[in-house]
Amino acid sequence: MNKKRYIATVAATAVLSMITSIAQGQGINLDVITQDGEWYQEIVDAYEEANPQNSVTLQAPSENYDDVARRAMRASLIGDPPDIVFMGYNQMDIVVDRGIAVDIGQMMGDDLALEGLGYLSTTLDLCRRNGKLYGLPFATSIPIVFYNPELVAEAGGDPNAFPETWDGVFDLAQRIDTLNHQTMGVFFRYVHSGNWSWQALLNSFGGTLMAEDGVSIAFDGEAGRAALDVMYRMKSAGMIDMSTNQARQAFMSGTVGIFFDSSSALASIQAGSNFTPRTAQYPSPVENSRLPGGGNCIVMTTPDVQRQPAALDFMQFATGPIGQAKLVEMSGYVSNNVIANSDPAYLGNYYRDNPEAQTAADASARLTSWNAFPGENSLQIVDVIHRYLEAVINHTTTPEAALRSMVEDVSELLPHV
Amino acid sequence: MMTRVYSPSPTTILRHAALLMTAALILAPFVWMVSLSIKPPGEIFRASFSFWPEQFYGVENYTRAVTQAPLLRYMLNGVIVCASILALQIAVCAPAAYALAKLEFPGRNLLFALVLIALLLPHEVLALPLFILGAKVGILNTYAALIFPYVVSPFGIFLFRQFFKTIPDDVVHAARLDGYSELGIVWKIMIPMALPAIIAFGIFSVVSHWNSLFWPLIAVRDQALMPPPLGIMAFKNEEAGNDYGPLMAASTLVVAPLVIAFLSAQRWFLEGMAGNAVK
Amino acid sequence: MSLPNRKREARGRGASPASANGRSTRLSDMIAAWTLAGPALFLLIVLFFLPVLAVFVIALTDWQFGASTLSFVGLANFEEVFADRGFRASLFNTVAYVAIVVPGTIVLGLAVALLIESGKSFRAFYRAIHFLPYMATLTAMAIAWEALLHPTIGLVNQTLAGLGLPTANWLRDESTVLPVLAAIGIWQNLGFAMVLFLAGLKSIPQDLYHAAEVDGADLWLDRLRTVTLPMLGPVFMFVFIVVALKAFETFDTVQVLTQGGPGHASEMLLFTLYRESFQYLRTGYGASVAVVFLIIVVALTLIQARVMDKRVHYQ
Repeated sequence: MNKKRYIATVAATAVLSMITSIAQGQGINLDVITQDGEWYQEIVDAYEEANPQNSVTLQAPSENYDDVARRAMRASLIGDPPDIVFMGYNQMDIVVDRGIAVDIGQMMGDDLALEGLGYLSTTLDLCRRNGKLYGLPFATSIPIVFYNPELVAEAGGDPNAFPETWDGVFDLAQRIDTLNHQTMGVFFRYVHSGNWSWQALLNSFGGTLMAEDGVSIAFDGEAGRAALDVMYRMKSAGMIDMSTNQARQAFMSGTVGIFFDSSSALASIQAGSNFTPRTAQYPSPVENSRLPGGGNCIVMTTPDVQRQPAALDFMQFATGPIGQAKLVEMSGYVSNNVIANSDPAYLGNYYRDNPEAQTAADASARLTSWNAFPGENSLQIVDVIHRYLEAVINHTTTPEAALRSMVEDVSELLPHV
Repeated sequence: MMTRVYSPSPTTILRHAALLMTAALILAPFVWMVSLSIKPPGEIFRASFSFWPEQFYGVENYTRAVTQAPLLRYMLNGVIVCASILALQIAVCAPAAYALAKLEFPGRNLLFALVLIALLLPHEVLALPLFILGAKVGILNTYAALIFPYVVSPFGIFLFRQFFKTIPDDVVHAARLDGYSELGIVWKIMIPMALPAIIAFGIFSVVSHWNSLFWPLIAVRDQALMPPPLGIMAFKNEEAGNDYGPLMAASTLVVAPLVIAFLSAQRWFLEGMAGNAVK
Repeated sequence: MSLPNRKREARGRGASPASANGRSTRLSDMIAAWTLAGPALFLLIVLFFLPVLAVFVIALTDWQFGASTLSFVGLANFEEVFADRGFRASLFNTVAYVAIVVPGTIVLGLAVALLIESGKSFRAFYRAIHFLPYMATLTAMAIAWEALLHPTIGLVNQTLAGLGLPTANWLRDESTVLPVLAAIGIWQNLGFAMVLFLAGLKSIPQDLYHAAEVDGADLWLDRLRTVTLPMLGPVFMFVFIVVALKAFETFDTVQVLTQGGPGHASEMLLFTLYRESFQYLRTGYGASVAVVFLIIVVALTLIQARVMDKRVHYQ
């Protein structure tokens, strides 16, 4: 190569790298709101190692999704929003409606590009609202069944073939319940942010919260009734009402046979039990049996175009193979990244070594979006429904009466057209 | 004070019996807490209770409690914030309490009523406006944000007023005759004579601000500024499950300095004050 | 000779306060008073009363937290508050809770303080133990209580069953949840009452006890009746008002342990307020709950203060 050309190439490279580093927002420190979880810092550390020009500061963590939403809103109230927020899937409406979330559809490219990065359409839907993409799916949990194989065997069931119908489940539960006075046949965790597990039942029977038009209630049909019937049967099969912490404690102490909870609790339940808990999927009583994905999206909340590329960079890292591998290994969440799941360099071997985690990953095929009720009373509706669920579980009302009252009360709280 | 020859009497035995009974009931949750802090995850929830674990896990739990979240940093923040708040509270409240207790002036009853009303305004109600105020003044996310809402304490004013009232008026007059200024009277006469109350207030103030999380979570977002309880919350997770061992270890560590502080303070204000008050 | 005379003598021969120092008392007192109390008054206004005023104003709107617009709705929020069944349940529960916690805390706190001071041994030890619940971080304690009160594997039920006594699902049964929360409230706060009573006991001049003994009151109960309890008057008033306030404003235990459930059985006013303002984000409505709450509390407290201040014996 002659000298002139050489110098030109070097110069061009130098200029190009300068431009690139400016475009990457050299020295940007991202401000992030998360929940509690050791994996967040791990992912941040890994990111900073791979991308030394940016840094990430995690704010003091929130206890739950509701608190994250409140903080995001308070921050934008005083005009000082963070760069990135990990929002619960069902609370996306809150940040979208108030204009706090940034539409990242254009920045991410088209469907092909998304697939190339390992994102599945079904999980991306969890972060879409009104057809636009507002975040990248980070941690997903599935409603799942934990069971105690020892108790199952003692009651005459087969620990390797968990019942696939509700009748089968209740039959087994009743047998476990009679084993001794301390054993509880079954526990259905119904206390969730957004009444998630009730929605799970509803979705698993093919129903949805609202109709297609987004205006009328759709949980008042057969699916809604079936969901409440299942909850009603829990008590006869041995369920004693208690808090989630207490229920998990009971299960880990070996005194609960069947336990309906979230897959995100897998790691801690495994650690705290002195037996080997097994997992199974919710029964699929109908063709179109779905389950709502719990968990959170990474949402971009900075309106500053200078900072957005850096924010997007981190978001992609956290939802990419490396970030997702760390998340799954340190919690019970399911990875949303196809590349992470299949490549042995990341999680390929993890699922082979942890068969119980495979259940949740398998259930991803049934995923549907986790919605909240529309309108400004959506959070209040959650509590209203919760009281009825509690009454059904404790047999202080019948599924019929509960459903009727639920429909009445919720209709009042929905936006009037 | 007359001395007596110490001899164990039925009263003494009764006293210890009663106090040990109440102590046992009070301590039950703490015993459980400490027991959990030395157990491995698999032993934490058993169908039957035993204090000592089969596998001693204390080292791991306490190490994690201190390393996973910057617990020591949080405790340092606790010291800085609590000390600052207490100093400012005494400086602001003692003079006002003295005025309410010992001086006659128009508007005194109104001022006392205002103090009482302020006393019953809970912080959950005031939080949002205070947050906006802090934002406007620009001190959010600093130590000042953690301190400013508490600088005046209606509780402190009320408490000091009650105790100052028990100090005889003649003492005040004598001091004035001796040439003390009013402020001098506050610092040199009232506070020393009401020292039990001052220290009791100090204990309450420190304990409540050491353990408070509600306001810091609103006013501050920098991890480096958070108070001690955040080191406990790090192990609480609604979805993924609590990590009980380190959680209880962190709780034990967070309450330990308070216990030590209490033991030293109470010896000072409760023991050394025999034959106090009037001279 | 009766006791009051003795007290006057112990104070020393004092002339009446007004003319003791020979200056123009009223004016200099006034200036001194406002200088001393000025900073406190200013801070009270800025940190308490202005925010409360803001809350009053918000109560007249329909502001949703995070929304950029709001409109004035007058007293509509207040009408809603009084019509709301949940609010009335909340009010009733709060009153019931206070009725249990206040006497329980004060009686136990005073009893423990007296017991500790009546002897010389192990005082520091007993004081620390009884104060421990007040010093512990609430979240950790709530987790501990939740586990102890576990219906099947909890220590409380296991002990009761072992003794042949009836057990219950303490936190999930409508009839037991509020008393249980009250018991936890007493457990938490008796140390607080105890420390204040200890401070008060230590402030009682010893010569009063000598005087009483000379007067023939040498039984422990007599000393209690004639010296201790009357001298504890101001402290007692203080403890009563503050403990009642704390009980009325209970929030943490409800939030962590029961969230107001089962149903509305353990819902309390401050929790209702918090939930409306912070959880439902209905800040306008939440503010009106706050206003009603404050009016009730102000009325109760001022009445208490009035009644007790008149009866309390000051020097």
